[in-house]
Amino acid sequence: MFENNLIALPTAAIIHCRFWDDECVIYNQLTGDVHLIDGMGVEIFRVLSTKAATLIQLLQNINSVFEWDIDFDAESYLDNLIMEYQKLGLVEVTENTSA
Amino acid sequence: MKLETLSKKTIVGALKGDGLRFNVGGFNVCLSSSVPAVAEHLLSLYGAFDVLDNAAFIDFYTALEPPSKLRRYFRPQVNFSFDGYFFFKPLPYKQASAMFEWGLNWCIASHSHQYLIIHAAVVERNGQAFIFPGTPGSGKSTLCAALVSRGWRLLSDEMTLLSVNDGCIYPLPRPISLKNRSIDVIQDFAPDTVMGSIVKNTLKGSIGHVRPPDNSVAQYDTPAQAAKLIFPKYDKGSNTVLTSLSKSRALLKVTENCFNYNVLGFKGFNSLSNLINASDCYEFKYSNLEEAVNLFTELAH
Amino acid sequence: MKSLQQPILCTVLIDPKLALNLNLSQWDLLIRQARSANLLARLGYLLESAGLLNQLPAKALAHIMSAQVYADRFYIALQWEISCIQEALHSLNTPLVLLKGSAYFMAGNIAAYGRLFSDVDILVPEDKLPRVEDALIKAGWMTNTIDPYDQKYYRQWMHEIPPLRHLKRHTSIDVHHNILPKTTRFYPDANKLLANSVNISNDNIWILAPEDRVLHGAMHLFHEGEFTQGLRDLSDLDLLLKEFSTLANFWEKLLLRSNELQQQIPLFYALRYSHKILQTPIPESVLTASKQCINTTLMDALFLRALLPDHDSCNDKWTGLARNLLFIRSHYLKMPIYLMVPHLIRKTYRRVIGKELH
Repeated sequence: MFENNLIALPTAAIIHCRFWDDECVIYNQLTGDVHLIDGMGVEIFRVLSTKAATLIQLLQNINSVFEWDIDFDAESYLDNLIMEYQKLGLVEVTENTSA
Repeated sequence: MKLETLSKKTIVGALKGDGLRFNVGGFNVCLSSSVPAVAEHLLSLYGAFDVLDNAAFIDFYTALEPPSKLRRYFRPQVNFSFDGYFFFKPLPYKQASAMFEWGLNWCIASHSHQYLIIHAAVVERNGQAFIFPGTPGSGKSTLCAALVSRGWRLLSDEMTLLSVNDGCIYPLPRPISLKNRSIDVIQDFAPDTVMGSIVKNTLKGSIGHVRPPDNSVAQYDTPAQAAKLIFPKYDKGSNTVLTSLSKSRALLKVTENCFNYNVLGFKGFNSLSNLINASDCYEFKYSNLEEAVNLFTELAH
Repeated sequence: MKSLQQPILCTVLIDPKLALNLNLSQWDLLIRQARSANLLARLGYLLESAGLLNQLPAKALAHIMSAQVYADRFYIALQWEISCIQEALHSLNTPLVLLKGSAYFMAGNIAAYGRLFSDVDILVPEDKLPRVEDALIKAGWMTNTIDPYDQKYYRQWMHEIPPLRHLKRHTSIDVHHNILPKTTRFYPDANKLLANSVNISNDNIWILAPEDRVLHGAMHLFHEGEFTQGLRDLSDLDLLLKEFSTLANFWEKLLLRSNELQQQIPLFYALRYSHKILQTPIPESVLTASKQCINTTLMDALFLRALLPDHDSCNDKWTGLARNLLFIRSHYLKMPIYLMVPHLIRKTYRRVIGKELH
């Protein structure tokens, strides 16, 4: 769903991430909510906390860290995760204007 | 000048007059009260604290008085006021000393947002501060009193003051509050412990306060660095078990044990994250106080 | 009655530099007066703006910074709350007109500095009220009031519906269709206020025009019965007037507008008392032009007491009486006698038994 989009932390700098081992805690400055993220989500936020990325870029990054069964649809799983994070206000998805 | 150098007459006179001014940790308090039990409480537990003169900046003006002349004699009650304002319902007159401690807790927790205030006991040994959050059933105050009786420095039994500016823990070495069975447990564990009068039939049961060690009080302006964050749980009959806790989960748990985390917002989150970063985090189950104290003393080496 | 001594708080609000002359004991009195007047955070911001924070005694600074931390968090929560309200009312296609503190905040007025309050206030046309209420309820707000008298009081006589409280966030919103109750002797025309309002952002945020913002503050304060926030409200007026006095023709617009909305008396009081208590710089010609036929000796005796912090150090033996008389005056202004007397009896009874809502 997000193939042509750029995924990033919200521009208003309201999302703060702290990483420890294979977990990460995310704080939403606007709502005061705190989220504990593990698994694939940690790598997503590790990338996004340095720069915005496309779905493909995120997938490449995750592939280098995780191993999974051959028939596991990593792209769909990632897609769903991004949608969840978007609903929670943890990421923003915009049109990818670069070539 | 220490409070214990004043005569009882002087203390009572000050309490009934313009107020007795004294230092409590980093806070200057002015207390007015005509209640005799309050004077007794100060004499037995606050002797090592400094008395202040009228020129000092007072952080909290407090008073403990009956609501009216009638209520001094008929179903007697006592009210706690902060700068002339009443934020609590009155309590039975006999609970005046406990009300002073609770009232002062409230004053500090409500007006000290230069600190992230964790609901936790904190003690120090060998330059390492051990923080014990007060989750229900933790027995943190009993653990705190036990460690302090074995030479650990008391920083606080109830409120860990984490400075948002420099990340240090600032002492608030006030009397340690014990409830119900803990009072007997500590009196057995450390018979030399100096305790004030036991206040019965409060909402929390019987309350007793342990006098803070003089050298803990003397070091009230020496902060400490956090080293260990330990979530204790008293479990009757259980072994003494210390288990590592992931930092992420420790952070989530400790955010639920703060007085003013919501007020501080990002500053609070940041301060706690830095604390977690600098600390080893554990869950701790115990039933034997002696074993618990030995384990922590070993851990502090 | 001899005049009261100027509280240290007023001295410092007028000229923050004078704080540097205070000894420690005076500092703790200043902090206490500011706290009792809900002005501690504002005091902090004013001292900060004057570049004085690093010269304060450490203990005074600690209390001020504590209040500022609270205020900073409050603004973030307010920002979020306003965006949630926008979202809830988005489909109605009606301007979201903010009032008072929320308006000052979104407009970036100096009067937003350190201003803490419990409810967001909005103004909507009376005919849109049911749809606005529905949309808010759909988005998770619910009415606090279940008492039939309170419901009737609000809907029949007041300028607002009963406060709505959000289920999850526990925040409150006051939806106004006017800025004074329907039963007020001089009831302003809300349509004029709405017509004159100013759009300040692309996402449909509106606020009252500068002169209306001042008049609203004046109307609110000088119809008020309880003055626990009196000095804070006066300080708002002081800061608004200082900021808007730089706008072209502001004073003229303010005077004309007070005539148009029949609010000459509240404006007269606002200018008089912000000038007397906080030394707001107001041209003599404006003070003269705003004069009304009023027994100023009596009103000074009342307001110059009631508008000070409700703190032992600021009260004298007449302060209690002054506040009580102004309480009765407020009800006299806002409702005719046949409504006022039973209402006051009921209010007193409910206050005694601890059930008072308004």
